[in-house]
Amino acid sequence: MSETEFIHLLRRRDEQAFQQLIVEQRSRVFNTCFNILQSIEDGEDVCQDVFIEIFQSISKFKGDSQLSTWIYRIAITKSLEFLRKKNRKKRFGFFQSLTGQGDYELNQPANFDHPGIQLENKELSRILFAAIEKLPERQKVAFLLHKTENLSYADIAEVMEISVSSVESLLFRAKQGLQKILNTYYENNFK
Amino acid sequence: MNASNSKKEHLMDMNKKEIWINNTLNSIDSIEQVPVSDNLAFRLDHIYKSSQVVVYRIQPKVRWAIAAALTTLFLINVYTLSKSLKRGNSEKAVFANEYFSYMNSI
Repeated sequence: MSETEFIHLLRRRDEQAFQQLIVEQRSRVFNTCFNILQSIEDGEDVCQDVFIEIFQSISKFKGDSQLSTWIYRIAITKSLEFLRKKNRKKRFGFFQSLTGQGDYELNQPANFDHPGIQLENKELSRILFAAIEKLPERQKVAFLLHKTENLSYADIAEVMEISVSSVESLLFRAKQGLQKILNTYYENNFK
Repeated sequence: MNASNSKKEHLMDMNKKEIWINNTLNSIDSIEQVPVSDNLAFRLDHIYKSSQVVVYRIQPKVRWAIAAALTTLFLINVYTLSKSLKRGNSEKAVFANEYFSYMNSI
């Protein structure tokens, strides 16, 4: 079955098509949300919201991109919305960033233990995930899509609706930012 | 001698730090996908039934009949309202006439 036929079935609210979509996409959607939110519970809640959104707005999908790209977009938007709501409560961090203090220091302890990381990298990945939390939204999304989803620059560009050169720039700045954060962490903890 | 030693140590420290930073940056390179839990799979399976929207299709004939009935109702209302307004105005005029003729007689 072609993707166009599959989308047609989804628009007609065919139960079997929806179940197939869930089985095919749930792992990717969950992992995208989970990697951005760094919490299994939040990742599961947002993953559920993503599929509800897909069911409700499949009729609005114009088909100008691949279905998986459209689903990625919903997953990222929902995860970032969730994160914004959660972060609104953390006023202190905001004031810190206003005064310019602690820009390259980790706000939260490095305690996110990703189950998909190899044992020998656990400790370092905890620190890296805490550092990723400090990145601006778009840099964070581009970096995570590249590193954890193994998406190419072109795919990231399509998902984020930007040019490939913008993706390159985002990834470059993300890497630079992470290097600064990790440098400060090293200076504070290993010297 | 001491200066060159401390320079060497500093370079070694820098190397150590850079290696550590690079290792940390690459620590998630071989990340594996986390399997979806049974709980989430169950929740997702039930979305279809709970998010089903029941759409009632109305036949075009019925739609036109409803539109005609509503228009008739609206026109009847307008007609009745205009009639009652006219009647109200004439009653007011009669009352005013009676009142002023009484006042004049006084």
